[in-house]
Amino acid sequence: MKALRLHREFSKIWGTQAGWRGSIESVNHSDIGKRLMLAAFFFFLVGGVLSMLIRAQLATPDSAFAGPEVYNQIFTMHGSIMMFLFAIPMFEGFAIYMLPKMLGARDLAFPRISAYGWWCYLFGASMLCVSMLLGLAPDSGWFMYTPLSSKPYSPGINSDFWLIGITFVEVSAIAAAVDITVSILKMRAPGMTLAKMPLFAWYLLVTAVMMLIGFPPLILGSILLELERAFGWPFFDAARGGDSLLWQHLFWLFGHPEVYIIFLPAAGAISMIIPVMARTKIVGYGAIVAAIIALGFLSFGLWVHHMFTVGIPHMALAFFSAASTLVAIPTGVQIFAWLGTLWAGRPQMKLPMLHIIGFFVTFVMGGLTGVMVAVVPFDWQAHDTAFITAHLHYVLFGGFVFPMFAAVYYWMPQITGRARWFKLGEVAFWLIFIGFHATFFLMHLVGLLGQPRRIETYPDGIGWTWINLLSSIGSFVLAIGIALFVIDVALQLWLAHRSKRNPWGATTLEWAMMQPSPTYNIAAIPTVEDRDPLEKQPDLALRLARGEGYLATPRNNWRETLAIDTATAKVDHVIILPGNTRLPLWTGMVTGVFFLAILIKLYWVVPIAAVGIAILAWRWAWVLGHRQTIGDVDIGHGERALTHPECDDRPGWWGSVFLLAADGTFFASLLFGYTFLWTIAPNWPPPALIEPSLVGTVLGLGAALAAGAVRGKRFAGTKALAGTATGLAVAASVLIYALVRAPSPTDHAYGAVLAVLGSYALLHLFIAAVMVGFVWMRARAGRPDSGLRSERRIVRLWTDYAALVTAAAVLAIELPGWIA
Amino acid sequence: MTALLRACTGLIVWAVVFSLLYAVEGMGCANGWDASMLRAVLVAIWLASVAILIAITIQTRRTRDRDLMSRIAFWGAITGLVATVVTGMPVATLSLCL
Repeated sequence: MKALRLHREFSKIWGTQAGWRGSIESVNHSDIGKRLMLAAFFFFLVGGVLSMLIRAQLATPDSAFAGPEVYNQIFTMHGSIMMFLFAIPMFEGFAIYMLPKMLGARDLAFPRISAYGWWCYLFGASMLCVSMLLGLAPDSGWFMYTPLSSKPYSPGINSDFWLIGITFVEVSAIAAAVDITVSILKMRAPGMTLAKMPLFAWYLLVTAVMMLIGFPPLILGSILLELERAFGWPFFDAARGGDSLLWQHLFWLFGHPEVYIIFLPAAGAISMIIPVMARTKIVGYGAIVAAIIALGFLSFGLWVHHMFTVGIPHMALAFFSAASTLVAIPTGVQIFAWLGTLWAGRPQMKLPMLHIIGFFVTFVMGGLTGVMVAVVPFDWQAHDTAFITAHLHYVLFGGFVFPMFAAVYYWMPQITGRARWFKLGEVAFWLIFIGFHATFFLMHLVGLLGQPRRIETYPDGIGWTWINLLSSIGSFVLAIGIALFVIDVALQLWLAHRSKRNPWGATTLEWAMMQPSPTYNIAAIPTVEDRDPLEKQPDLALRLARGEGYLATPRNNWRETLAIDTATAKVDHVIILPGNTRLPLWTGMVTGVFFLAILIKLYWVVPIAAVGIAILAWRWAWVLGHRQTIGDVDIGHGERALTHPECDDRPGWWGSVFLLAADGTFFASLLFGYTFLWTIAPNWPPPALIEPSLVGTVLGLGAALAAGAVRGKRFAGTKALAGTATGLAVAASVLIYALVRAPSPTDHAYGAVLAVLGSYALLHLFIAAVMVGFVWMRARAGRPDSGLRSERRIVRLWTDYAALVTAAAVLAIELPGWIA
Repeated sequence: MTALLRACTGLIVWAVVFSLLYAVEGMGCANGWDASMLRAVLVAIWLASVAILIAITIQTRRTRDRDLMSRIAFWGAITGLVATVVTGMPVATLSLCL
């Protein structure tokens, strides 16, 4: 009875009201996760239909099925949808749904950010789909190489759709990455040290950090290319000091880690499923963790292997060739750990296991061809041929789609509460497996016979005809298999009988709750003693439902969950999460107006939308925190803890740290671009350098230093506040003065880079100023010092960053002039 | 966080050295540095980083039995060392700026 009472009380606090109003207000991680997964799967089907059009076109020589203009849009959208609208959001959705359940938490660290990410994804993806319906879809390939995607060669709006739409979607990816990172570090159940985390959490931690470092270069590249296309700032135009290779560097700095960003969460799912299917424990937990961390780093040293043919010196190629072959070792460590687990256990050939075998066969083949193309002379032969198309599909389909299918079948009972009933899945698997290999294995052959990628047709009589025909037949078998998979899952969703609890006999926390899980996940937060909490306590689900654990007493309508110390996993404080709100929807919509206005060149709307975003962000932060000091509260087990607004180590601080890490990578990528152009690009040094200003240099550095130094007083007094504000204002004036003196951004890439550097620093000074004003207003509004202390700490972090990038920007702008 | 940073130390050093070698090689070739001087600088960076990574490996080896994260820090250091030796080897063996 106690369990039922707790369920009712917690559901009242964590629940969502019925109907569309509840849907648009929900910030619950289960709701957001399921929406993301469903939407991503929808886009997978859209991308799949596009791939069938590609295969229909290539099935016969001299095909007139689609002309080159339409065909270019089809293959560009196929790649873009699969990479940006399917793979990344699918694992984000899965992580958002599953992670809190595995960690023993009630939600993620930033529920409103999760919801905002969802809306950004939905609006950005819709923008791209609208372009397709209008016949204006991007058509320069999914990696948008310049100069093909530059204005002279792509004068329409097609490339703008890609640049704006993808950047919009990336906002969602960065939001999810921050959310996931902080949740893993701070929101595990007490006792769950890093060494006791489920492997899935390790995989996601590394993936999320990789996203924070990997995505900013692409966001930067997209902004620069849009600036070039819209205003003629020549970052990639060789005639005016730009370089099209800069785009390739920025794109692949993102693009290669992206492969691992897609693979690692899938590998995380595999690491969870295999021990359960083999009825044993994972072999080599520590070795796998070390391998994941190694992959996270090494994968950033491979990007140039996509550029082996562009004319980079051979020694540099050798650096990247060596790193590309080396990365196979940590991947191999994981493969052997999984095989060892299967060897040590008693594997059951159930449906998830079939897909795991599909993964092994396919991914290992893709990995081996990956080692082949990592070798420079071979790559020179195979570059831009269908061999590469085959290789990347083996890696991505093998490394992501098969594991995701395994994950669907494995976790469906947890998500739906239903057992699989109609045995279509096995037939679907074999059709998918055979269809996939028929399609893509043959592509290796036709690639080696010289068929280039992205061609819309080919002549008869050069030996490609029958291979392409068989490949196309294979793709339709694959499509039929996926259709059967959809039907099988739909039957399980709507018709199947209830599943028994924990049907696979798994030992991790996501199975220690009702199926499907309630909105609050668990009525009490457990204490974790080892990696398999359900092994020693198979009745844990019942005990938690009865409230035997932390935070089992609902109070004040608070959505409470626990934060721990990252290293010791001891209780640190209580996090009170925000309730349902339409704020993420409004913010997402205004962000959408911002991007849409840029797309359709209504530039006067852009600053209005930016102000709208700032106002909503202000509101977003304002509603948080206590109006009076609360002090420590009872958390169960006779223990007490402070609530998060009164703690220095609150999630918001950590969120800021990781967001600034991504921001810093963006700035570092900009400095890399500046150095790259100065060193490598033609037509440098520029015709005219900025006239160096002693006043500007000294004042800029001094003001940045002053803002950073004064903030040491934590904005406690009006004098400190005024000092910081003055420092920020002087630094901003210096930057504006530098921008006025700088050469025109349209004449040469030099001027364009200075304009972006100065604008970036100005934006951060503005953000810091708004935040300083925010804490000042909070103090005036009578918010207690117990809460303001931690808010000031966050503002201090942002002020420090603004001061740092201002100093760096002033140096980068003024120094070349001084040296000259 | 310290345990996590320790686990990444060897690989962070590798990432810095890898970027540095690529940057110095690119700048040296673009600016027409003297070939023997460029190679000497590259080899010096490479050998110095290998020495640093050997030191880190020895250091983490001493504490590797403390707990799992210490063991991972040791393996991370070895990975960083091997990666630096392998990816940096071209500076000593291949022709410059070709």
